[in-house]
Amino acid sequence: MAELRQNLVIDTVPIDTDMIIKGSIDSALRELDREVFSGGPVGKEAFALQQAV
Amino acid sequence: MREKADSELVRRQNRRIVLETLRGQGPQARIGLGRSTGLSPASITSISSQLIDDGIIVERHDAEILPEPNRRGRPQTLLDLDPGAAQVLAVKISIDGIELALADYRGTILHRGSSRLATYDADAAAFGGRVADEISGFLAEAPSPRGRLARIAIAIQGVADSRAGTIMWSPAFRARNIPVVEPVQKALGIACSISNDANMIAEGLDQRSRGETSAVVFMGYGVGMGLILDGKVYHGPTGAAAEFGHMNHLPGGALCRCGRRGCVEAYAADYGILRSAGTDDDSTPPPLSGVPVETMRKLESQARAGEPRAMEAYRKAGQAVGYGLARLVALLNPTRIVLSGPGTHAIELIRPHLM
Repeated sequence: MAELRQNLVIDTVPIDTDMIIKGSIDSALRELDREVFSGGPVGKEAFALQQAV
Repeated sequence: MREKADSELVRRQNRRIVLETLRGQGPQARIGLGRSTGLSPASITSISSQLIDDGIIVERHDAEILPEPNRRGRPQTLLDLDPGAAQVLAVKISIDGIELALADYRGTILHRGSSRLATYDADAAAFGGRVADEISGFLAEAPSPRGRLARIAIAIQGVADSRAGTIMWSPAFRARNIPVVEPVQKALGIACSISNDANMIAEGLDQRSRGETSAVVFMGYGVGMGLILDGKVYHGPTGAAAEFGHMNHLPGGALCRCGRRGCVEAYAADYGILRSAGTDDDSTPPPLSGVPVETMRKLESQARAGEPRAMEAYRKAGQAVGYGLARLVALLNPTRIVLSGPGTHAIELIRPHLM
């Protein structure tokens, strides 16, 4: 066990609910990058077609 | 035919790499983007032209972005995400409340709001429609046009089934298996996802943990975990992975909000710490609503002043989290563990008992 912990860093990051909002935004944007905009061409006119129902 | 499919796959992959790099590292000149991505100059030229034509990225002059002392040499043209390409909406549902934030494609928050939303006694079948109504009301007040909204990400306390789009269990609700994603998508026609709040914190910290195996432990009204495996947040097949707070710490032990006994959370969440300090009866049901911040501050002060029961409650909390983390370390060999959430206000009382 000691070997496993050798390179382990334990940080404390005081986080308020804003980090949940920020993470939700980041998650949605990454999903958009990956699942919509990587596929392109997605022009602004065609954008509405990418919205799932 | 196969060749065409392969080249389309490569094109998609390269576009994704460029977008991920710009999102993770910020605006870059084409030459720098080539270095960061490992793509050839010809590929970068081709992909960036396509993305500009598609309205997804824009060219910016470095004078717009960098303060003068940081600019060197000839003016540069940088590539950046086009904020107008799309908008996303973050929704956080907690006990009797909802918070919303609309952001542009660069992640800048454009509009925020919050309101009271009854959760605990909510009718499971009607709740998703209520969320959709809240979103519609919020968007009606937003200053920017709604047509750009492309994704809605919902974060909840508790366990979410991201595949079914439901809240499986949450301390904020009496009901279980509450459909959320489907009613929201049906009402608004916009793709929606749901995840637990600890996963979302991990998403927010993901930039710092790129490529690592690490874990974010949320401590506060509950105990949760966002698990990052090789740089990616791991959700599991249904999105309910890494429910660290509901790993068993002590068989038959203290009563948890989930109804089982001995969970890590039953010792290390706010209510668990408060209960340990106040009573020997670990079957005392957790409060329906959260523990007020002032109550926890008072308990922390008592522990810092050496009050034995308060100190013991924090020792038990640290031990519960510590044993859980020790199992995680043995299983996954992470390089970094981040402790976060309002519970870390008392971290100096907890940390000595972690490992």
